[in-house]
Amino acid sequence: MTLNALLCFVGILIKQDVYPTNYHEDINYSDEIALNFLHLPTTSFTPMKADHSLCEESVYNSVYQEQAEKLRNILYYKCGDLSQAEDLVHESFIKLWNKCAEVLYDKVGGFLYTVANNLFLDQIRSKKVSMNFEKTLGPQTDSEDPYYQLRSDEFRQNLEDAIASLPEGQREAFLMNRIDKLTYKEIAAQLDISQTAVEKRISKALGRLQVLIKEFENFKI
Amino acid sequence: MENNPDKETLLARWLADDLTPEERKAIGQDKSFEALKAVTEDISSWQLPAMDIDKGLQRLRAAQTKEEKKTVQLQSFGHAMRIAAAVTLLIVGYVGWQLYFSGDQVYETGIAQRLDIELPDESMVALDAGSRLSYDPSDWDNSRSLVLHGEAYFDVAKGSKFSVETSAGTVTVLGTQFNVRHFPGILAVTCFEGSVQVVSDDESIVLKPSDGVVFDEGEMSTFITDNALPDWQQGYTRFSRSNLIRVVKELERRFKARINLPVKYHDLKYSGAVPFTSLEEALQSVFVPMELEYRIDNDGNVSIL
Repeated sequence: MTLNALLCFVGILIKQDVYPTNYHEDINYSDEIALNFLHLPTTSFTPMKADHSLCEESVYNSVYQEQAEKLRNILYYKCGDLSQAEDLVHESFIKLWNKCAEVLYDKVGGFLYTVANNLFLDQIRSKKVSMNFEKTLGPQTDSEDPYYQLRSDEFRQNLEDAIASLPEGQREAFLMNRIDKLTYKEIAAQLDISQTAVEKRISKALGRLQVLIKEFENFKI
Repeated sequence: MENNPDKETLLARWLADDLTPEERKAIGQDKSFEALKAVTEDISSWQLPAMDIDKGLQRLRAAQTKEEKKTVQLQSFGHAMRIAAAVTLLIVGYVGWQLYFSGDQVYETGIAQRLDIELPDESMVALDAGSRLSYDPSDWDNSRSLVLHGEAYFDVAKGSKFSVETSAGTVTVLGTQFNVRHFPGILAVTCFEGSVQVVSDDESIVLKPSDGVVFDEGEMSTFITDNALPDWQQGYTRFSRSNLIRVVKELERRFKARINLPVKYHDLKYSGAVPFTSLEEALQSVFVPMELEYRIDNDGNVSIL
């Protein structure tokens, strides 16, 4: 035990001004979550250009319009709960508002993802994830298509269950590619991992689907 | 081609139509790939319900208005709160607390037990599970001093000095609310309001609201909290990139369980919130995300596979 002295005292509290415009004076340097995205105040603090300031309601709103759904989808792939995912988006945007003076406009996507991911990690994770998607194409009954059975309700149900049972990282990368049409490079940047790591995850997910298809076809025959 | 690292990414590159000519040839007319193609194309057509952007923005606006109101209230009625300082202290080290007192008032809690204690000066203490608190009633007015092993949240009545003694040191506050935790291995301090200085050996740090510091076997790291109360008061413990063995030790203490974690997993990092509701739920929330399997035998011993 190396601790042999502990000294603790508490001074009289000086209540901080919580209005976001003053936040740059109170940047918390231990904030690992957000530090990468902050304007660190050097000797002279230069405010953002007004037309790009996230403290402008119109800018903030347009960021929401552009980013909220993307973020919600990724969070859904992690937790499998649409309302939980939307709550996390809400919380993340509140944090963005509170730090609007410090977050770089160009880095807002990364900031939101990191904050949301940390909030997600802080939550108690439900044991079982389930996945549910809206399918625009009805089940095909066209017998000319040799794979029409793979679009039956029954198989799609199996498919959703299999995707839900994938490890979080595989599920996330795979669905970002399929549903959100992101390239491997974009996914790698978003998740802050290498492109090869993304390819490995997606390959593993595809391997699982191959097994599922084989099982289904054997069962049919 | 055996053990080729490219093989691990083959399927992904096939999907992105990024194969080498040789690889493409090797796959050739493999029917299973056609089926897989059909399935992945189907998945691409799936969607999630569109998000209601207007509703989301409205909700944000409502939350922002509320926050501004809260600020005003704090400023007008919050005088007492300014004097108050809420501090969480997690102090760990080996203690000889058993030896300290004989004729003292002693409170102890078992597994999953919590106890609210009112002290003679009307200060309140919430004692967490598996903890022990003692003080000398005859000397209370003079000293306002307690000995703690475990974890407790204090809401201290105004007055002079108030101190909590542990073998790792003494915590003295002039404010009103703080949390002290004392187990082998760690000293952690979280400050909710006010400011706190923590000194351990030759390292010293001043914490501002929401700051926290951990000395893990003397190694210092910092964290932040958004909470107004210690985690345990909300029914869970939160870990942030903690060594898995540390998490396991905490579960063992809290549930008086024996958990056998293979050495190779000791240094894995775990981040997340662990509920106290039951051992089973706690294990799930730790090991399911870590993708480790565990088994509970008939005697209640847990082994990680």
